Amino acid sequence: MLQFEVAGETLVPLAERALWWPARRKLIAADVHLGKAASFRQAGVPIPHGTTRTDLQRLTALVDQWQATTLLIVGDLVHDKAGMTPETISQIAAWRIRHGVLDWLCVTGNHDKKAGQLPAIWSIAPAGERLQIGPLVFRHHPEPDPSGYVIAGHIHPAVELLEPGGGSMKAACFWFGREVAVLPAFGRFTGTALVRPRAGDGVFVVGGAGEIVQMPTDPRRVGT
Amino acid sequence: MIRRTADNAEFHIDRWFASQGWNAFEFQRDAWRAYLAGRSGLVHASTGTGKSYSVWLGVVEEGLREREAQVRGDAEPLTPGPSPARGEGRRSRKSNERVADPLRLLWITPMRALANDLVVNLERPIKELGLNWSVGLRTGDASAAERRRQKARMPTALVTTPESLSLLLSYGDARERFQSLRCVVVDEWHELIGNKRGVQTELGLARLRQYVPNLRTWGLSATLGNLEEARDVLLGNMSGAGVLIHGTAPKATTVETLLPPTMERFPWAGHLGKRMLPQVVEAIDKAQSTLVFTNTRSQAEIWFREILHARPKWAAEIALHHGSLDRGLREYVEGRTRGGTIKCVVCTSSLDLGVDFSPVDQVIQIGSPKGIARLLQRAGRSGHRPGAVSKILCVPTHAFELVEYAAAREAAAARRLEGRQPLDNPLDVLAQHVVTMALGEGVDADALYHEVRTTRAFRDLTPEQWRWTLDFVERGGPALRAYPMYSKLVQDGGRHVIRSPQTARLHRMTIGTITSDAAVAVQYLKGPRLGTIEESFIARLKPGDVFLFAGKTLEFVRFRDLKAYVRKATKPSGTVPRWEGGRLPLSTELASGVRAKLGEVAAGRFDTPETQRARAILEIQANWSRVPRSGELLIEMAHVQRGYQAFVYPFEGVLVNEGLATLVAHRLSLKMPRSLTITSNDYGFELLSPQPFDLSPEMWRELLTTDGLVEDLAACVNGTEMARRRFRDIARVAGLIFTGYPGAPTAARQLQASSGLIFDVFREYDPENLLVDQARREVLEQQLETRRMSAALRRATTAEIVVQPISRLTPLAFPLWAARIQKNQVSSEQWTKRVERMAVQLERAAERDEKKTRRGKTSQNADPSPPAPLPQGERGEVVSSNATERSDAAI
Repeated sequence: MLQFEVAGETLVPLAERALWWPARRKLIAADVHLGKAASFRQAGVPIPHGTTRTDLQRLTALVDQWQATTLLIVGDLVHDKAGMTPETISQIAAWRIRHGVLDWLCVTGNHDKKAGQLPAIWSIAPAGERLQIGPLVFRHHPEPDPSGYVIAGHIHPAVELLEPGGGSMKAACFWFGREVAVLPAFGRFTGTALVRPRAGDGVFVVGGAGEIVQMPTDPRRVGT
Repeated sequence: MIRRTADNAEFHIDRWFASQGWNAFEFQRDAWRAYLAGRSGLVHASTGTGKSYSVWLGVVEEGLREREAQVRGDAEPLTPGPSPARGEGRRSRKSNERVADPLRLLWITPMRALANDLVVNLERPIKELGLNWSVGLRTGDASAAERRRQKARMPTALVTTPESLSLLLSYGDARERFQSLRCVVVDEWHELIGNKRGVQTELGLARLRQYVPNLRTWGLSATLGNLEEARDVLLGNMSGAGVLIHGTAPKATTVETLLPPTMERFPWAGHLGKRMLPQVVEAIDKAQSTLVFTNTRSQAEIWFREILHARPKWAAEIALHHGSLDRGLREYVEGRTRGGTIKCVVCTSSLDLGVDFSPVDQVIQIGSPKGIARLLQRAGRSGHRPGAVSKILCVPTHAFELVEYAAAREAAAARRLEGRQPLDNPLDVLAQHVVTMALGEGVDADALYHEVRTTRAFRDLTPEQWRWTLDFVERGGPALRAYPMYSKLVQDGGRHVIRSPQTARLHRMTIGTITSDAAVAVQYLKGPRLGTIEESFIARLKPGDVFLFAGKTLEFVRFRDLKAYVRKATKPSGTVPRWEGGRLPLSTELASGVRAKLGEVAAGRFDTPETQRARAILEIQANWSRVPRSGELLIEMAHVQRGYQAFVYPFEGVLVNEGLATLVAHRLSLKMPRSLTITSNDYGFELLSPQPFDLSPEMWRELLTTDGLVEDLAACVNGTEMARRRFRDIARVAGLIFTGYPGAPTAARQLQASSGLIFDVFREYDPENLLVDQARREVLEQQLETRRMSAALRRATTAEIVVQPISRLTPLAFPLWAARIQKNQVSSEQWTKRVERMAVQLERAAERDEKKTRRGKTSQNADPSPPAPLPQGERGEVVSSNATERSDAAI
């Protein structure tokens, strides 16, 4: 199992694009964007349905597999107001009933803000814009925080991988910097943005069929 | 029956022609006669020989005859307009201006830039002949006032583009507006026939024919290899009645090559042939006014810089022109070229067509001409005056282009020109058209099905495909059938219409963007817009990076609101942007010419100046390996430190070669899983493998069999990014993505998703989606050119396959090796394994910072958060983070 240590805590980046914090039994995910496809459909763009359902199923699988006591979303749980259709709301409510004993916390992201109040039926504990647990600070925007190491989302990071022969490939990643870590976007219907880590950063790329690989970021090995 | 005019000329306009000191060409008179007889057709002739007047003056003649009939009172006026011969026309209430005759003619041009000149050209005879006609312009550039005027009343002749025609058809009053139309002219039809804008035009024409059943359609085209087909596509199901009119005999064209003085120093795969620069500059110096054509925008930028470098005193007299530059800049350059106040314009296909540049007396082609028709077209930009000879001077950028020029000259002399293949069943364009029609009168499903089937593109559209498209537009397709939330079209008395103003607005924006790439405006921090550049290029830049654009060295400052802000760079050099879609393949005709030429060389015949000059290089090829004889397929095998190389030379153009390479790689990896690196160019492809190939000629032949071509290709297309990339265009045309452009409403922000993402979601949740299927089809038909591919494979399997071990890179192999930067990967390896071999691209500036920090300060906290991501793809908003500021703050 791959793991990475920050601020004295051991964290496990998962191929399913979520982060597992074993010591606290917390599962952390960023940028789920539930209801995004519904929002597109509302605007007349025919995106097939199934993405929100899949994302909820993936969350179920993770919560069950790791026996998590807490699910912590570091922002952008939902996409926007238009996507909060009755169907989206009831889908998520049904999911919540299935995971009744789970602590569900949600740090507010820019998309959440635009979507307004989250439905009470989801029983999500609002965590405001910033939540500190032990040495870690959870917030949506990846900005350093004086009181702890930051776990954030927002940018949907991906790296460009270079083949020794010259080819290249884009892959979503976890990006652990000196003071801030950025999680990959969890949602199935989300894009990515290229980032360039610096030497010494922890970069875990995810892809393929549930695979995750730590990339060397030692400039001598990378030699770009 | 032809009525003779007073002075016994056949046509009224003969007199006007004579008054200009001109004589009408016979083909023009043929076109007038055919037009007056109510027929449709296609006129083809080279640029500057009076194509436009061959149709326009037919229309004018008709007007003159009607006016005459009215004056003599022997006929009812055919047009409701007043006759100026009666002295006074109807006057509009508001002003004293006479109201012009109603709409008669629609003139569709693919080039917005030409529209203004066209208006002037069309106006000239009607003004001088005193017809009460007006000429108007309706393109994306038309002013709001102009639009309002046209809404009140259409001009007698309207110049427009395919996109603007679609827009006009999207309004409810279209039928009424076009009721009086008699003729549609499609200018530069050869530019439209092979692409989706052409299909958009076909659909627009089908609609106009519904409004006006006896509408005449005329196309104007440069010479093509498939003129009759071009005419038939234009006329749709009316093609039986069409005529084909051949213009004047082609202008005499000479193709000359600027021969490099010595071959020893001449690069095999030279850096854009810069060694030829002194000779090019000298040639420019000698001529009055020169157009320098390059094949890509990047090359144009580089050559412009180099020429300026060589002759700084020309700074005010040389210019750059390509499709990414701001329209204002381009128009300025065009104006000066026409006015003859410019020494040299470095340009791309952006100046292949259109405006008459009479002062230009020399055309230079840098690098491969790629096709014969194209070479002739470019040559035709010089010697525009009647009787003048068109001359093109070719500048090789690597040795084998010398062979290409020799082959092109022969093919041009024999008029072996390329055709343009029309498209079949592009459902994205159809989906867009259905929405356009729903916005207008509303859609009667059966009637519209019959209407679109009258076009060539959709003549074989099946009822199933039609139902799917309609369903897709209406409810998002079968995948959303059980989803009541989604409904774009609504039923209204048996018609499908659109109610939502937001949908209407977004759709009208989509129509206009059918051709635009996801482009980012490049603009000075304080100053004008310079043009546009592909987003993917900007995404790779970091603030402070220097790049070459619009002939200037610019420093990238920041990216905001789809604009890349720049300032003049102080550093001298920079990277050159690479625009996508710049890879034009060697045409079938030219490729076959090159194979034949090499065959002659292999047989010891060096009978052109070009092959004589290339002799030294060709002999190296022969000594180190072999020059393929005709009927031979050469394969060179090498072993290098990084693995085993196989160089295969089918000489089929880069797209087909790439397809062949993908196919062979796929078939090889079925036999034994391995990771192969593919590189291709116009001549052949290279396969690089960590394991040896060990293939006999017979085994190569098996790899190149046509059996299972489509199945095998479909299998490897599935595994590659090709269909996904292709989907970008399809998604935009079908209205699935809204490429933000300057001024786009921010409401569209939440709706931004990359086409690749939508493609993935479709594949997973709606696998039967016909647009996904279309992406695969387009890859096969257009990108891999399966038709050409199977011809190539047939040739390869009947060829004598020569497997030649080589111990060093031959002149043929060298360019492939050198071009290994741009290439594809076909891999049957495990994802993890592959990724493990790869390296992540790091922030280099940050590394340097870090080294500095390590040497100097010891502060551990000085290191900021991860740097800001570069803008690309879907993203909420730009995270602004400035590393320097932050580290200061932390200290």
